[in-house]
Amino acid sequence: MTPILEGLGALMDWSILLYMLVGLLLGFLVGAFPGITATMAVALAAGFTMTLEPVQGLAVLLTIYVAANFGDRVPAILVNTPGTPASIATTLDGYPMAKQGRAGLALTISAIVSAIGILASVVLFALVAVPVASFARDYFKSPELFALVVFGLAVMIGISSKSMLKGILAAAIGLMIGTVGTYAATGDKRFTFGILELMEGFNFIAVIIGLFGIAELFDQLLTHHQTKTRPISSLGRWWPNRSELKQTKRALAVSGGVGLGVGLIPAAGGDIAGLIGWQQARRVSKTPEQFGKGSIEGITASDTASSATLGGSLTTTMALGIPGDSVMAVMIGSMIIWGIAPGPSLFSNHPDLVASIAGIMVIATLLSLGLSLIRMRGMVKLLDVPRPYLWSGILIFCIIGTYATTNSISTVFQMLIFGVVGLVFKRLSIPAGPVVLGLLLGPLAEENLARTLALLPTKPFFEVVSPIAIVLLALAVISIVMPAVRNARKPRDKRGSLADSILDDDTVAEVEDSHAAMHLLPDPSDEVPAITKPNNTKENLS
Amino acid sequence: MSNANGAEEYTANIVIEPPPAPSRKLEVSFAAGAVIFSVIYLIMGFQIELRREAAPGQIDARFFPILIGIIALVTSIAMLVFALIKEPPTREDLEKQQSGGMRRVAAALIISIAYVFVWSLKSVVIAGYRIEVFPFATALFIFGLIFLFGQRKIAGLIIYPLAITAFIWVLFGMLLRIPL
Repeated sequence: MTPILEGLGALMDWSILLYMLVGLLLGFLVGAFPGITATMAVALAAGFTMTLEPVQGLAVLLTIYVAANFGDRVPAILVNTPGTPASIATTLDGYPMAKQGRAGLALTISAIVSAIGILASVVLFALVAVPVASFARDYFKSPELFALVVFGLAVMIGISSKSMLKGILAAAIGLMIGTVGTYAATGDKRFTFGILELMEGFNFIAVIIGLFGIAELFDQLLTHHQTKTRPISSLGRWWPNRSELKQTKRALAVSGGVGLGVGLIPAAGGDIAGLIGWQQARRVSKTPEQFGKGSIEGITASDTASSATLGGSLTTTMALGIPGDSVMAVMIGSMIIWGIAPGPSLFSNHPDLVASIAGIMVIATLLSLGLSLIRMRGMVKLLDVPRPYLWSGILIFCIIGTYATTNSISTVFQMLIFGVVGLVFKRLSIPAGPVVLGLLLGPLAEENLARTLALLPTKPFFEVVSPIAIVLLALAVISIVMPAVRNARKPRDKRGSLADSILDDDTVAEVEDSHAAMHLLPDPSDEVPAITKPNNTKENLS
Repeated sequence: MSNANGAEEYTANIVIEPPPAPSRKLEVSFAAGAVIFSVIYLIMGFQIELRREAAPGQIDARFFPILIGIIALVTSIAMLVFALIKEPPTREDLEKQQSGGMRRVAAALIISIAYVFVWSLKSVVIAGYRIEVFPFATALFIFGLIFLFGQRKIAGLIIYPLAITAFIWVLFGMLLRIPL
């Protein structure tokens, strides 16, 4: 049997579908609740998937990853709050559409283009993953792998924090956490303080659930307040007509390309791709003035681009062992626990896994699309779940999930400690991404640095350190220096938010103006716009 | 929900709050703390006991921690200098801390730690019967949390903790055989 048939055959089991349904539900839920990220959900689920077979576990985690990408559009469009960072760009045109009484249309278009983006990226993954892994396996020795780790860390530092120094410090803290435990090469104990539980270092799952899950929860507890309630939109009709679908074509092509490209850059995720895709689609659009005011092209661009990163992220993660985004960083941790080491040798050792992963992604996308189109009206009600139930549910599942990884109470304490650390980091604008990446890649960096340094005295420098390693190290320096220089050249009040750092000043000003003008308009719940059709039309019954 | 014209409405909570103000004191305190932490880490790195010295050209267990410690120290000193001489950065990515927020976090943390301690007892013997601690501790824990988070309806306070506890017990304890 060929590896492709073997990989797909592994999915022909009812248990896989069952696990995917669990992942689908969980992914939609976390996507729809602002403040709960896909990373947090995958971290939490990782605790429960330890006992599963790798394909079963991947079915849960990858489905959460995909479904969260659909669910997060709901609050972005309806309440102008991204469900996860990947839908930041969705708010630019999604919310204006909702304000105009076209929320249903925005939700449907978003779901369709997200599915197209993900499916295109899965094709990219299927085509590119094996050649990339083969190239890396043949040409990446210790110096190149060390340089690749440094590059991955540098990109994450460059994009995750508005302060470069804070990003570097975050990565250093992650590397420090990674040094706790026994040094594999010699068996020496480092920073264990005689505590038995620290001999093997900090538990990765406990650290990520603490930093991403508990810290987010504590931040919500810290900042929550009673809010005034007001109706924001009428959902209007759901299905786009032929002319509206035609409008999406150009944006779909341009932003799809952007998403596929950005996805291949380690540590760059859907949030960045969405904004760049939106910007590029605006440039080539025949009606750029509509962008930021409720443009169908705008929502198509942002959602296609952010969704199309998934396959690219998966490619760098599986083929190179460098996480494509923070969700993938968590997933690598889970895979290592299952005994699968992502990296150049993965596909030569498990060629069937490419087919299994691609198959899971395709099925998860189709299930998510189906659920999005059928149950969108039910999904919007998720936003009304009372916070006491949500928060207490998250906390107990974080605790049980962490405990399940080791069956040890000390792991739960580690998670709570890192939850408090994560909250402090969050309030100080220290990004958690580089911390996790530092923790994950630290041992890999140390091992390959040690091998490189051992080789250097024995051979000429350029025989050990290849052009590939030098280029990667140069790119790492550029990744840190360029954003810092670009940021330093901006006026102080323009620095900061992700949108401000990616979109040019004129675009940001135009979007702000159009949103300000939009806020002055009467609310559509009081005055239904002409485009909104009565509930009993054919479209509205969809 | 439908409005008078038949179009569906959705009701949502809109938060319009100014972000927390920039704070030089906070930035300086953090940078100073980072310097102290880096120095402590670096000193501890130098003090790592080696069972075996590294061979020429090889690195030992101290090398990497010392390298990271130096990077962290240089970075945190630079942060401290910038925090002292430059305007503090904006904090527009953050939401403002609310009154009672810190109390909620502290209480949730204390309840969680207490719960984990009680759970670690595993089982207790009362009147000659061995009783598993987990379901009772978990139901009480969830009850305490939702009460702390503002739930006051009796039905919710009772049904939700019991339902979640039963779900966890059945799924993880019985089906996945995690020793709760």
